[in-house]
Amino acid sequence: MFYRQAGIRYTSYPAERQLWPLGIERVLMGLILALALIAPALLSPLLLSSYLLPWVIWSIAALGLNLLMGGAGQIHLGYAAVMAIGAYSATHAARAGLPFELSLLVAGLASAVIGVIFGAAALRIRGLYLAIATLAMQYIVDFAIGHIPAISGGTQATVATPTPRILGIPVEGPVGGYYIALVVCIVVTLFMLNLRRTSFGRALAAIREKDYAAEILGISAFRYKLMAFWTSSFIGGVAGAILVFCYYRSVSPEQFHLETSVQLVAMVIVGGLGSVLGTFLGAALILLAPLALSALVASLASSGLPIGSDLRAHLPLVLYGALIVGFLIAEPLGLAKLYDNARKYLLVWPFRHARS
Amino acid sequence: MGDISTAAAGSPPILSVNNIEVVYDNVFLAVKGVSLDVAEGGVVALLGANGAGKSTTLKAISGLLKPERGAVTRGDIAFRGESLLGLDPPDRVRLGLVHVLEGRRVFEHLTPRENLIAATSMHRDRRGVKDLIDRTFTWFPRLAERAKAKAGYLSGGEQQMLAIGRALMTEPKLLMLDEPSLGLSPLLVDEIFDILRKVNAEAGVAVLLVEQNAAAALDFVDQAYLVDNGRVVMGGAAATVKANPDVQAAYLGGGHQVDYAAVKHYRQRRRWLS
Amino acid sequence: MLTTIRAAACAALAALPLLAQPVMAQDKVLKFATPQDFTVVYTFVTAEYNQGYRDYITLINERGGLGGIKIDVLVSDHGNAIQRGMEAFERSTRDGAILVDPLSTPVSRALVTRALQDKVNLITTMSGRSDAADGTVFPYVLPMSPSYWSQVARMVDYIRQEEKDLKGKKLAYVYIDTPFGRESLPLWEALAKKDGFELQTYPYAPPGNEQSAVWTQVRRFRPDWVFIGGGGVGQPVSIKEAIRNGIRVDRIASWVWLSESDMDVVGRAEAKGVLKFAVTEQGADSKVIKDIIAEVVDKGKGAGPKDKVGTSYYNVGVMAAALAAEGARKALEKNPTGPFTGEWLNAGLTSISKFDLGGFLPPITITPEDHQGGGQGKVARWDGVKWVAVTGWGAANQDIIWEMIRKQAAEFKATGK
Repeated sequence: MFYRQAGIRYTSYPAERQLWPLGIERVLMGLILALALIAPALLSPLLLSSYLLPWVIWSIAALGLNLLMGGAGQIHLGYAAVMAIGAYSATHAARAGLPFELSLLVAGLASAVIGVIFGAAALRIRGLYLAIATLAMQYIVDFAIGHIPAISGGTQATVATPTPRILGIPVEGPVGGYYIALVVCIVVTLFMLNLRRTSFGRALAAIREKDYAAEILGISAFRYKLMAFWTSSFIGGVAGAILVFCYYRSVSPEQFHLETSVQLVAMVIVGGLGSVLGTFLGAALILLAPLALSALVASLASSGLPIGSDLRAHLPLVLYGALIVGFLIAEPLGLAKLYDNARKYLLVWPFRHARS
Repeated sequence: MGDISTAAAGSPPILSVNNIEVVYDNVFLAVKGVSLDVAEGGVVALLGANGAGKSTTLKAISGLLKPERGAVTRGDIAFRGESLLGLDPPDRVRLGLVHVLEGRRVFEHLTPRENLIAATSMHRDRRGVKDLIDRTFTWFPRLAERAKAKAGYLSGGEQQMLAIGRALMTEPKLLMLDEPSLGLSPLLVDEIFDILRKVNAEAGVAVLLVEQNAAAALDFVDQAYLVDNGRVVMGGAAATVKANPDVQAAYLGGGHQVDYAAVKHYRQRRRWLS
Repeated sequence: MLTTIRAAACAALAALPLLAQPVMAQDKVLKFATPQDFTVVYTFVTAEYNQGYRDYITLINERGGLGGIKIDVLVSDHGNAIQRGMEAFERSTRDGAILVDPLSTPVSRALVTRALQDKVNLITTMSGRSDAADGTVFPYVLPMSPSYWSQVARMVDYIRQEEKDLKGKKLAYVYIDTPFGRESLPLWEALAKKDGFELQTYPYAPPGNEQSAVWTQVRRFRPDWVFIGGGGVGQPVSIKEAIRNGIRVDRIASWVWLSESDMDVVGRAEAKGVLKFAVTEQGADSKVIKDIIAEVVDKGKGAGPKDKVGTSYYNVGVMAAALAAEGARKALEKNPTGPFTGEWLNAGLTSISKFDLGGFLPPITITPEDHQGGGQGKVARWDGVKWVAVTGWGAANQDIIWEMIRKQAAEFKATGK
């Protein structure tokens, strides 16, 4: 219907390899980008600062994790710790007087270096064993931050972040923070979309499918596994810095505990391993559904439904759990696959089947 | 060209596949209309090129499409007159049909004996299990020799034997084999087919065989179907199929006296049929 | 395809509350928001605290409100998650809340900068940062309750009176290894220096349901007194471990986080003698609690089960609500016509003077400089059935505490921006 393939004839390899071969998808992307750019004018401050802004930021982080999990097939249960390293190093760098842009770079590099050290474990172990190794990273980083006053900020364990400055101009409030996050998000998204078209992305895919089969094709598993951890941790560090500068406005250890790591993994899995679109959808579901559900239950309760305060607090959690399980049963490959099913259906519409 | 219905008149077939259509991932049509019958105690081959839909047909019969996101969207599969659609794979095994997967899939970390015992989980009678193991080891003396090694260390031929022996532990009425000759030497292929012949004769197990190696298969079976592009294009007694000049040309490498006009005619017909 | 439609329906359902516009704010209603943790970490206190809070506000409203103006309490769950706490803060201030009481240390810490910028009164009763007592640095953050420093100082002072002299005595501080537990370490060191006792500190890993390794170390130290510094599940575990390791029950002390249900976990009889810091009168015998029972609970307007009325944390909730309402009353006195903003309420809250709710509370005075309100409390002892006060209202070592408050607040001021 809308997804018309008829008449698409490629005359060159670059044309065949373009990101969005279908016209409708190019139009959709343009529309989404335009909406994202004018969102602050369209949305109320509540929606912008409590829904859209965190969604954009967590999507950056989940994209970074998806590079590792979906792209290279390496599990990471300590990604919140990676973000924490970025958040703290950027905060301390900026407080020491470094410009905001450079602080972001410092965040990425610090996370990448430490992330690679722990990622080196992936050279020897995989699967559940790697999960435990990355879990150790979570605990070690938690402990280091909590017990070194120079990092955590002393007794109160909270460090306020300076106002971000772009080229020396202070960017205040949720709108400014939103645009900073959006720019970073667009850059990371483009990187992730293009990844599978690069030799780096193809090498990661080979390692994901079978690392020893990749080795006999001349792909160094050692090198590319470390590069996967490096790149993913870099993105995670920048995401952590953006999170505390543009959204939390202060940094404290509780922000980056194990629950956060688990949530990030959930975003990637619910969204769909290896899918860019899925990462955005997964982040939306994991992050925004609890907020929206508790608001929904609260508005039901205030409209006169007999919901006790205990039920009112727990019902959204029950619904949230049911929602996640429901989505995964309906489509085990994640939200991205749901979209893909609809897209494939429309691609061959009005016919029932495509020729395989 | 050939009579599609090959079951011996009078005796009802043990397996009857009636015009099934299989779709993967909701949109990709892999099997467009396959019908076939296997007689009680019969030996039938399903031949065809790569990607013709042979393995998909077997998976549709044994119920293994679901993990691969496939589904039977039309037609029916009946085993001894009872429809199989809607039954789980284990239920189908209980009814008496068993599928030996392509590429062997033995439990690598178990010994051959443990592999065999693993297939008897639905037996209640422990003494019966011992008899079954003995029966299998009699059919496959090579396995008895290596009963204590880990299955992962067996040779390819031994692993194939183990996979077939394991399937026979379920006491099937119908044994479905997907490419048992894959990657094996001609000598071993002969050995395996000899054993299968013995199994068919001694235990009365019907066999449905999917093969690339058409020459070996046609020597072994009574009936054969030719699948192309998701459809059955020919079926009949093995000798008839083997004698067909088109089959000779396309699958048996009898290229010395090719009638090019006939090949062209066959290809056109094939295109028209699909 | 069906799955896609289902997904779309779910998404639409989730988006519903985003679209729903807030009910038009009625005139003459003050909105207090209590987004609290009903589900994750603070479950041990939140239900009772919130019940007491709402019951007291209902009492005020039943009596005609504050000169005709009623108070509306907005309840929601933030699950101790910063993200959700921030969303609740933004949502309730959009809905017109001029006071937010999150009852969670991580959430209130994260909200400090927002509250200061948005001029919304952030109430941090029994939670948050102790240095927020300095109103000059934190004008919109109001603990209005004795900080953990004040509580520790009061309890150590009681121990000093019991022992006559603390010189050479051994005190152990066993605490949960989080910023909340670590916050009082500097004060402990200052007190040990001042009173001359020997101090050992023992952190246990959160959440604290397994502490046996720590207590074998405590046992080797042979302390004369043990102070347990945790909250929730860790507290009864600490008491049980202390008893098991041969520490006399009446030498175990803690701050405000010990309740009737903790004693049930330890065993009501076994726990007889344990000491705690009490910010309010204990039990249901005070006039204000009796009034609530008569005018709210017995009329079927209570916010929760009747048997929870008068429990330790219920009473803390009543205290928080009473101080907030008293602040609003003062604000109305100062400026009867409003506009009823956070700034307006702040002026009232910071002029609360010698407010004691008929003896239910120590006399509390909040000023623009002092947001703690005196740091007074009683020492209460578990008698096997209920908590019984063993002292009158009092505070101790406030000079040391204020020195620390000013020092840390100054640090926040210097580097916080």
